[in-house]
Amino acid sequence: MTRPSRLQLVHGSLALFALALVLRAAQVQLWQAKLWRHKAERQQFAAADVPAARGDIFDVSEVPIAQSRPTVRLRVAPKELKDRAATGRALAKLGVPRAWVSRATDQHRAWVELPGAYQPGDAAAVTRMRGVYSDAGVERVYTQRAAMRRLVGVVDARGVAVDGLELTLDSLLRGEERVARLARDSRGARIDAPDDDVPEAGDAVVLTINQSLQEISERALADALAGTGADGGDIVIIDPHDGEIRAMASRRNDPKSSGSPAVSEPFEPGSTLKPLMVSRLLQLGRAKPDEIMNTENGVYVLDGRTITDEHKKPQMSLSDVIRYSSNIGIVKFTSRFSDREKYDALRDFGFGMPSGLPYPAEAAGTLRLPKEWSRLSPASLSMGYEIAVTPLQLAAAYVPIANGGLMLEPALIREIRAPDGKVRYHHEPRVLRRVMDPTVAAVVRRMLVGVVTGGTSTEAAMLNFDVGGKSGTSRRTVGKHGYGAGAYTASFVSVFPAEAPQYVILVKLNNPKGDIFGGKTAAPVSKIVLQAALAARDASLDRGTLATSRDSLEPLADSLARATLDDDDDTLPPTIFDLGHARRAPVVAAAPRTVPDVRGLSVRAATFALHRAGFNVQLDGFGSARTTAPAAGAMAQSGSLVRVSAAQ
Amino acid sequence: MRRVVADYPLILVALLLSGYGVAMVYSAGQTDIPTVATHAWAAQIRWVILSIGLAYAVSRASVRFFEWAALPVYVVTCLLLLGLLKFGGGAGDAASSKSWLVIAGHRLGQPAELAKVAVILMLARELGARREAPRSLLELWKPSVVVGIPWLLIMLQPDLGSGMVFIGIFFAMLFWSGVPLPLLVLIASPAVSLVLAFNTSLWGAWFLALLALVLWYRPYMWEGVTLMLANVFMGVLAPILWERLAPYQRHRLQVFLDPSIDPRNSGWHVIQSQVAIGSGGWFGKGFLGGTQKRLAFLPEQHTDFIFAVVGEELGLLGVTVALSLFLFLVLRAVRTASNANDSFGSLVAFGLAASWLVHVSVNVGMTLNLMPITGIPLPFFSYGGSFMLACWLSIGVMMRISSEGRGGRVGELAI
Repeated sequence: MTRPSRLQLVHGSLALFALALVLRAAQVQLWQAKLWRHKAERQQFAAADVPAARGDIFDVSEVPIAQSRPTVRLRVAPKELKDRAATGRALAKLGVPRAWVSRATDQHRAWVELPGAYQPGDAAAVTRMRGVYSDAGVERVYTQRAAMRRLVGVVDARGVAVDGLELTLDSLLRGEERVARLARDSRGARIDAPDDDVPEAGDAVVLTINQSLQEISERALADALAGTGADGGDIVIIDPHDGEIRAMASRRNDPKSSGSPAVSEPFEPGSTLKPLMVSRLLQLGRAKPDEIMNTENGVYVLDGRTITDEHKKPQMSLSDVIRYSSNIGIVKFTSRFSDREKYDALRDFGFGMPSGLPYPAEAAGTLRLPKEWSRLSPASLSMGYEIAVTPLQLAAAYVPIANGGLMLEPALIREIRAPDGKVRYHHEPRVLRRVMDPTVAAVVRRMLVGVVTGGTSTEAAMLNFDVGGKSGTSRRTVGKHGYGAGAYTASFVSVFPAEAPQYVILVKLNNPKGDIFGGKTAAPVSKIVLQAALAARDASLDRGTLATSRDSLEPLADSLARATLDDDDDTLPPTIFDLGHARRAPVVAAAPRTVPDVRGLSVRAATFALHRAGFNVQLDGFGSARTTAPAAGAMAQSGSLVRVSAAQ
Repeated sequence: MRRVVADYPLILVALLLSGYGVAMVYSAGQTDIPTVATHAWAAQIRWVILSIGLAYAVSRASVRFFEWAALPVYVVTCLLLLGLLKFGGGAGDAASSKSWLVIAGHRLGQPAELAKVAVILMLARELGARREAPRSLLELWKPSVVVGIPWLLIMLQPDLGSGMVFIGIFFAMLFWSGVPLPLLVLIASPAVSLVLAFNTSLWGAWFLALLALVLWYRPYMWEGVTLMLANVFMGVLAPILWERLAPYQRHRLQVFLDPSIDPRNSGWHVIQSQVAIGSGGWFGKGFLGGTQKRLAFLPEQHTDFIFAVVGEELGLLGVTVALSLFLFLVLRAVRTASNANDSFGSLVAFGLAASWLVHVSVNVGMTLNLMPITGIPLPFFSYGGSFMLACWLSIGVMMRISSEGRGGRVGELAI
């Protein structure tokens, strides 16, 4: 019979088939497994940069200034769309330009990348559709661009900081981008990042700037430039309690100007320097407020140079020298200082060195050593010439007058917070040194009130509050040689309210036309700012203190006590510092700090400088330091690593 | 009263395969971006339940009824296939082929699946009615026509995969009916010549072997001459045919031989399928965990390439289990065929077994790059209603044949 043998044949071939399939499967799955697994990995995963959310920037009252928000960029594969009309409608509703909508729904196109970024929530209706792909990104949004632009700076479209605080604080704000292994499907669309590869968001930064005040200042500056014909101006407002900068506004007609000139453009301050000289005279007991000095009827020849006064009088008391801004008076009084004493005084007020503000391109200004002085220099310095100061330095120098004698380091950052809300850094007022006693500060403030109530700057006077201030009108250098005819800097520095100051305000106008005097041009701007600040809902003013300051005529001693810092702010040590002995405030652990500029130094000197500044150093090469990472001027955590690249 | 002793192992293995299959269809739908396969599993469950009901109903009918019904079923099926050429619709990748029965916009099913069962019944009836197995080419004209008509109609759709199944069924049933092996070889020889013609020396060797076979087997003179001429013709024709093939058709054949020459297009399916299976290793990436499938690299993952999902997620273990179940199914069918109490039942059972075997080996073979891509589903696994119905219909028929066979008892003779 054939049947049984055929059955065997069947069984045999079945076994062969089964064996063949299993063997082939084993060959593919075991012997070639590595190859196929490698192929799978290669096509299924892609490395991609996952952008970290940049830290937000807030003003002092936690109003957001710069924020990062997630965005999506859209890509459309028109051929994969199920319902092109519906997708088109959804895209139009999202705000995609009509030309792009029609392009994205044109089925002859294989792939359309839509320009611009959209908010994920808005785009959700579209991204759900088949054929629509999205890429996550981060967008930087500035809430108050106009007023804050110079100060805060910007980041470019790729999220790289360009200037301003964005640049200085970049290492803090940037966060940690991660290179993630992303699953990728057959059409190349990203699926998602594995959980362990979440990028670390940047730290949030709370500035000391008050946005309302900043805006008020910007607007006042704009009006002042229009009204006086000045071609530029700066306003700096500092809280004398803690040295925090509440506003720092700058305007230049020159369109090429960028950054913040209030910290980068030094000028000769002129008469605004006089109260500082007077405070030192009083502090050292070289003069008394009511001491009379012969002011020579307004014309005085010293070492072959004729010094004149605008307000000509045969004699003046020290108070009147300030009140009427007598050049002759201040020169004669300060001739009681030695050169060294004068230099020390100016140095103590912070001139000639950077304030330490974490801001790019901060200028140190110019204060020459006495040995480089000419015979005329001491007199020039007393009148505010032969010295260049930045608006910020000048405002900071008035802080001791306002707070009872303590020189504070100006601050722009109040707090730095980690993404989880942990506070990494909180600004504590940092006392640099005591430059005058509280009693001296009070006397100087009274003198400043005199300037406003009956002196050169009556235009700054306010109806309900005492304002103390000093104007300055200095000639500007034009080009490289000498002073330009008719080129002046008008400035006005004031403390408000005079009894217990809450603001130190500096107003500076470059080249005002017509009336050039600081008391006539800059002082009214200061008044406008104050009025607006009082009218504003939130301008960092303590209204409780303001209400009492006018009505209660307390004895001088009391008001002096109030002027000391520990009255209002118990974070300051109540210690009285010896003059000239700078004592550092305790450094907050791991506080971010500025990377010093060591370019050009020898590797040895650079390392030393960086160590002293609290950083660890990694060296690349020998010779002289070329660059550092993070770059000079950037903020970095103390104890963090700074890499120094050196030229061979 | 009649009592049917059911072939429980057969039912069990069919149920296991269906359960395994539904699980894999469910997994195939679990992709990161939803596809058409996402909800296929629910429909598949409905089809399985419906199919089991149908199988039960079929198993209540007698073998004689099947034999009686073979002709009308065959005729209706052929008419359906003819109608498809005019009114048929496509689906998915094969949108241009007309394999779907579409009425008023609804795709009802693929008559080709039903045609396989119909052809098996009809061929069994034709071969079973003979007293002796065909011994010459002339005697084979009737079986050839029975298979040829639906085969031609299906190749016109075109549905190459189903066409291959028909040929497999044809040869298997001729073999089981007792056609001498040399005759089968002679019948197949022109096709073999066509393939071997590309290498002259290979073809020459084949031709000489065939000549020896003819001289030994001694068919009718004119048959022998015709066959040899056919072989020569094919050998000469092949290069000409090759030249006349459209470039894409040539390409497809070349890609089968070496998929990596075109990894993005023609080679895509088989490369992605191998990547999926190969990256599974011993135990796979876990149920639902296949990345190749999840990320939509695997094409047709719930239909023709579902076996790649098995390989990727359950590894060699899952592959071996599935293949063992299939082997058991076919062995059980062959056992039924050899125990059947008449030649019709025996031939039907063997035909069904052959149909499954061809499906499994071609489908699994193509996912493993052993066979060219022909778009043929895997029984009990691939998503699709008609095919599931056809599979369980076959189980129903098989159960009846088994219970009427020598091993089983039948309480009462049917009709």
